[in-house]
Amino acid sequence: MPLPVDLLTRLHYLALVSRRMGGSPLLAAPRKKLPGGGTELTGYRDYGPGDDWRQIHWTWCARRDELLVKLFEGDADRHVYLLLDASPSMGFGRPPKLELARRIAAALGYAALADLQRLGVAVFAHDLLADLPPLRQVARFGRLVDFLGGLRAAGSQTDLARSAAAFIRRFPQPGPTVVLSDLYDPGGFHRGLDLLRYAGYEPRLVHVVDYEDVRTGLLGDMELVDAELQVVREVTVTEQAARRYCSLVADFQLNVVRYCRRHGMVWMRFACDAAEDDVLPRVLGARRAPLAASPEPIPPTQSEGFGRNKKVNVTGVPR
Amino acid sequence: MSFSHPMALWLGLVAIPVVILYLLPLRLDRQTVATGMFWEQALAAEAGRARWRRWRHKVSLAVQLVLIVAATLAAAGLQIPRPQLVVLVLDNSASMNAQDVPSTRLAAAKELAGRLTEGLHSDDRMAVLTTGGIPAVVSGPSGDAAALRAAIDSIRPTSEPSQMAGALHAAETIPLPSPGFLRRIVVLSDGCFADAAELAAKYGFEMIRFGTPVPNMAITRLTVRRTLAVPRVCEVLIETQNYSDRPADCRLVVARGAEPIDTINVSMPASGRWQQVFRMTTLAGGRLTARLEPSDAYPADNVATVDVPPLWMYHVALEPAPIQWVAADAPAMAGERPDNPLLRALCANPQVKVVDPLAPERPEDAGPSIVIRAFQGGVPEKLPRGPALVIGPSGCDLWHLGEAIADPTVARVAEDSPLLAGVWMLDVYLGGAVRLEMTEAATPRAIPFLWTADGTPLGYAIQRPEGRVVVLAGNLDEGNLAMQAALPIFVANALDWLAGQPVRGAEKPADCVGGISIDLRKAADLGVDWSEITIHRPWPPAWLWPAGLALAILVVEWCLYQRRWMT
Repeated sequence: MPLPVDLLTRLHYLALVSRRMGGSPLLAAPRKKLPGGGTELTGYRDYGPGDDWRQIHWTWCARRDELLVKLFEGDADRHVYLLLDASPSMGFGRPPKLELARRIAAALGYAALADLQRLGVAVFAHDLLADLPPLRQVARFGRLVDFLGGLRAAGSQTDLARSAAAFIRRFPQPGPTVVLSDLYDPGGFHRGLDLLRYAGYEPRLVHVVDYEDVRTGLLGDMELVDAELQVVREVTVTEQAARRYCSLVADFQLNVVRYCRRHGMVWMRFACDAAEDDVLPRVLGARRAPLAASPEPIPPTQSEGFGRNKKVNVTGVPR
Repeated sequence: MSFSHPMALWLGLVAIPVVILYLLPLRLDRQTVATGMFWEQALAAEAGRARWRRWRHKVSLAVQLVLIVAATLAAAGLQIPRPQLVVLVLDNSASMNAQDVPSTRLAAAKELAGRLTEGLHSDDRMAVLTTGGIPAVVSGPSGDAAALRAAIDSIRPTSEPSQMAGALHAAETIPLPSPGFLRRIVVLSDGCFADAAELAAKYGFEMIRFGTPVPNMAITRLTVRRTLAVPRVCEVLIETQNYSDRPADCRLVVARGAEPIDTINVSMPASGRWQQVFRMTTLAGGRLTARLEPSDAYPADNVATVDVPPLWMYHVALEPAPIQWVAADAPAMAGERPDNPLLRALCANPQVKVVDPLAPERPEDAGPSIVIRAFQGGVPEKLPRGPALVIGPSGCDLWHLGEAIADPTVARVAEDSPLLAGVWMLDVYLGGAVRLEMTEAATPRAIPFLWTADGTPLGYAIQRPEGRVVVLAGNLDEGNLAMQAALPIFVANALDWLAGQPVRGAEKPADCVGGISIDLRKAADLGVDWSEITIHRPWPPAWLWPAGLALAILVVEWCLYQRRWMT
């Protein structure tokens, strides 16, 4: 699905605002000085064999008859990565979670390119499915848009650890990595994030959720189809099982929050049907807001009941 | 088992689509979820119920079929056992007045019958019949316990014997409310009726017995009649019966009105009777009461009453007045043997007092009396009001005289006429008789009672509104009737008929008025004693049970459905 045309205008405006407000918290990274590079004169030293003669301070040489070379320092290239989940579970939601993730990725990508960062994008599901080589300059934003526009939910069951390993191999230069996913990894989302952390990729998390997954109204006999595994299973969902399901989902979201807090990880959670005007400013840091509307999910209560057609909000997050 | 609404059984056909839907492969809803990892964990705990889950559809089908069956049975009005038409045959005959049970047998039977109405199921019906005298239906088939109890309370004791056969036949012919009903005949009786065993075998009734065989003493006969010779003397016949296997001694107290007359010690052998006749003099009559003392289990036959008729006095005004008339009373004249045969006949009658025809007012007397005019040899042109005896008539407003009858010998008599009771009038020669031609007004009321050989009436009995008239066409002086013994009897009969009294000799003795005597030892030993009967409160209607079951299944199914144990 192509990104809307007016998105570029809005991103441009938001990027300007974001820069004035300190930039996106998801893209924040310490600037690294690169000696010998750049244009900033930091000192002089005696000329040695092998030095670039173009760096000789000819004026000083004429005055003192000494060969000195000028020492310059510049900013090192900052790499920023977007690790986007395109597993089949991301195709769920109204609109699909992948749609929101693409818009967030486009916004972050624009901000990164505008901030002269090198932007690498990878798409994963059970493994790394596709990647976009590091881009630089806003002029390359079109490639990013094209890449993101061609994404479809595909692949198999999410395996973030395997995908992270492949990602590290594919992008060996560490840099802040924004993971956009619903984290439905049966093996555990923390393994992939731990791998990124250990490799110095400073993972940040954008957790895209569909509250319809939480508010399950499923009860009774049915064929349950796992979208990621494409496995059909006849089940009978009792009230007890539904309640246990809601509890598991709530625990899962609570674990995500606790993991991010424990590791000082920047994270944001968005519902798939969240308004774009609300999401993008927060993603880009153009509006300071709590990282999550309600960081602690509220487990379901008995009093809310489990009627057949009654949706249960187990997170307590207002829609 | 029966049904009050059999058409509702068609509801059971609902089971067919239920079974068909069960046999059809179940197509489950397909729900796609983003990930199954949470569902796997959530459903892992449900694995222990897999065995139940295999059977639950079969169990659900069975429960639904049970539900349909229960609902169908409830809608059809299941009745277990079959509804009954209880025909209650309540014996209110004389023997049920025995007091060997508290109050009377009938009171105990009515009380038990009232309790039986409380034991009726809601679908049952009860009809009530009585057997005393003519069998009667007191209440038709009804399920209203209050109405039935009111009908039972309205039953009164009778002094008639039990007509059990007729009552049972009537009970058998009472139509059933519907074909599903079961007829049940319950007899509440003391068993004192004939052919009890045969009736029980024929009708198969259930009998609740009241009372036990007990000895009984009864006044079986109390009869009074006046003697022909001395009418003011009455002969009283009293007969008592000992319905006991042992000799019995008791007292018999006889009273007229409130006045005791006599007390007789009665000794009766076992199963024997005692009889006695005694005389009593009375003009005015009255109610004679005989009472056996002491009382026994059946006191109704210990008392008998009889009404002694009063003796009427006839004040006869004879016209023309006899020569011997000296204004004395008739008995005095009778002693002088007057020449007039009619006068002799009148004086021979102790009930007759010959009075002055010019002042025939009725004198004060001890008993009832009536004035009768007797005409001999002629009558006024208009016969005066009141009863009149005419012998040897002349023409008047009731008849005209015709030609003389050639042979006035009585050749034929009206044998059923009260005037001729005890009188032989055939071959009596009524000399000087003339043909009597009844006027148009008297013809319908004139009944001849004597005829000649050629069929000419010689005597008429006329019932005119102003008073009865007896007329003989002959003359006593010219015939031989005056020398016949039939004349005083005929005159006495004529006076009785003219006075409107039953003719003596033809009158029946007055029988006792009281309870019929019953041998209480002959009670049939059938059924169970009433004291052994226990009335149970009726169960709720049978259809309530399937209805309750259906409701319970619905509630359980709803709960299980809500709990997703069943889908």
